[in-house]
Amino acid sequence: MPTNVYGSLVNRMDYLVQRQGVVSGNIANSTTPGYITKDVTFESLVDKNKSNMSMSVTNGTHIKGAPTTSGGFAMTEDRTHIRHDGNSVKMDEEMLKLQETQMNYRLATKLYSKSKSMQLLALGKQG
Amino acid sequence: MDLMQAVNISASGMAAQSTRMKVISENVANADSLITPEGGPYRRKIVSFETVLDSNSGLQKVNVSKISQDTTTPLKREYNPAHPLADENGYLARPNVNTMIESVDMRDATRAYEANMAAIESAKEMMVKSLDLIR
Repeated sequence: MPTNVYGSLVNRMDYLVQRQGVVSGNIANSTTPGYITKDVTFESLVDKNKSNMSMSVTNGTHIKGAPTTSGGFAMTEDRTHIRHDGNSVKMDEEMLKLQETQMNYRLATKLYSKSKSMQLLALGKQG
Repeated sequence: MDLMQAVNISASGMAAQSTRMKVISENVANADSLITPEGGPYRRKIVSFETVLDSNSGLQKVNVSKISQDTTTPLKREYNPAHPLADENGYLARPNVNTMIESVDMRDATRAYEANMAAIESAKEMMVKSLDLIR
């Protein structure tokens, strides 16, 4: 079921793009009075996908294989450490989120092209 | 929602910070201006930011809401009876600009601008990575 891999990865990339936008918004509003830091969380729908994504097991000791995630996003607000002007953006944390999003995106695109080349290999073409 | 919209949000932040920078330089340049068209010495200007919902992407943009005059900080009074603009008691009213505050403000604006720039760089890298997928 390689199409499922693509589906999950596209979902993941969608989430990362969304997060990049939200983090950009936080950074742009880092000096706006009354602004509350926002973030998006990835709500995985692992259980729903488990049934059609697990590896077949011939022995009880075999690893079942990690299920892929796909799901909706939820907006969250960070109200810890609100400054005197009502702003709660912590610049260092936002920079960290930026790097994290970038790295995860890199990983997702890498996985995407790897699964593509694996598929090409199976088709007899050099991937 | 695509990456271009994330870049737009960062651009709005950069535009807001450059307006702030513009007003800071105005304050510093006029730190010694004793006469203005409105009469009296120059008064320091303050930029206020506001969060605006970008209806296109559902993200939070930043806008300059207003540029107001600082009327709470008192004007500096200097005893200089020889000055042509001195009042009958020999005092001269000078602008309420504190160059120290302005320079700290300027540094803050620079840092915020750089942070927005980093966000754009990061979005750009992500765009390049997605373009690599079609190769």
